[in-house]
Amino acid sequence: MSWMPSCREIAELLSHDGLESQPFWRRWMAQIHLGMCALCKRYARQIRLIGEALRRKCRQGPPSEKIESLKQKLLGLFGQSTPRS
Amino acid sequence: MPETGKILLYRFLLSEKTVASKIEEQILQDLRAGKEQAICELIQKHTGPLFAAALGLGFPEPDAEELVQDTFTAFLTAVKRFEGRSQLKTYLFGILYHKASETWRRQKREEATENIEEIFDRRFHKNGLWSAPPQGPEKEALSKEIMEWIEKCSQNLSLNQRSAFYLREVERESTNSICKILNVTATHLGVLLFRARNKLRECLEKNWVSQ
Ligand SMILES: [Zn+2]
Repeated sequence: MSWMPSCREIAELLSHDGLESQPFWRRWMAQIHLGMCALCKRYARQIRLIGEALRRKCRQGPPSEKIESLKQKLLGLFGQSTPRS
Repeated sequence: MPETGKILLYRFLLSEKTVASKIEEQILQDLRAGKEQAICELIQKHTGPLFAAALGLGFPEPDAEELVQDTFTAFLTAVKRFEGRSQLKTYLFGILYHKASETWRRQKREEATENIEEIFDRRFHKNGLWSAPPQGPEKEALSKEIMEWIEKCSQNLSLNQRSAFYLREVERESTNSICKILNVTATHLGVLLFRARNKLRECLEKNWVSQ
């Protein structure tokens, strides 16, 4: 089945720029492969998990009072030093 | 869709875009003129995302604060030369990345030299089938343990790898914007993401197997 991407190609697709950037038919082939291949499915799941972990870690962002005090500091530095027009 | 409907839709999309860029153009003019209100708005709007990004790249809080400050300093010095060809946010992130690389170099952070391409190669037969299939968590759920592993594993990433990964996964930036921010081609960005994701996955697997 040379038209079907190999496991290696699937793993490369998933870890490069993701499937979204691929043309429709290639995405489709990849979906079929993933539907049949438990190993690639596991790989795909782990790649998603890793992205999700980073998002979760960063989702809350820095505490709002930290951002606020940094803003105040920056406003003091840059805001008032410039002439009003 | 009838023709007139299409034309109306295009007009709408076009005008949305023009309105957005006109607002940005106005802000830029005010910034170039050194108007205080514009500078305050700039700081109000972008401090949070820039600070979050600096922390997301793994810099400790004092360094992250300094990076944000340096970014604004550099931006306000350079704003006269900024032609507005990219979005303001993209441009600011570009400066932040540049400043982060300087700090990174100054602190002489160790970068792991493992060749992830070779490790990846060894996982496959010549015909492209898995020879060493991936092992590790089967469930989609993120346990506290996995979070800790990934956090620790991400210390193995170089600055450009973690930046590419952060901009893609957290900021959900487009390929085009990330390439502008990191000053790389789309192909190179693919390589950076490939390395970041596979390094993290390999490290996650190692932790999983040895637990
Ligand atoms: Zn497969």
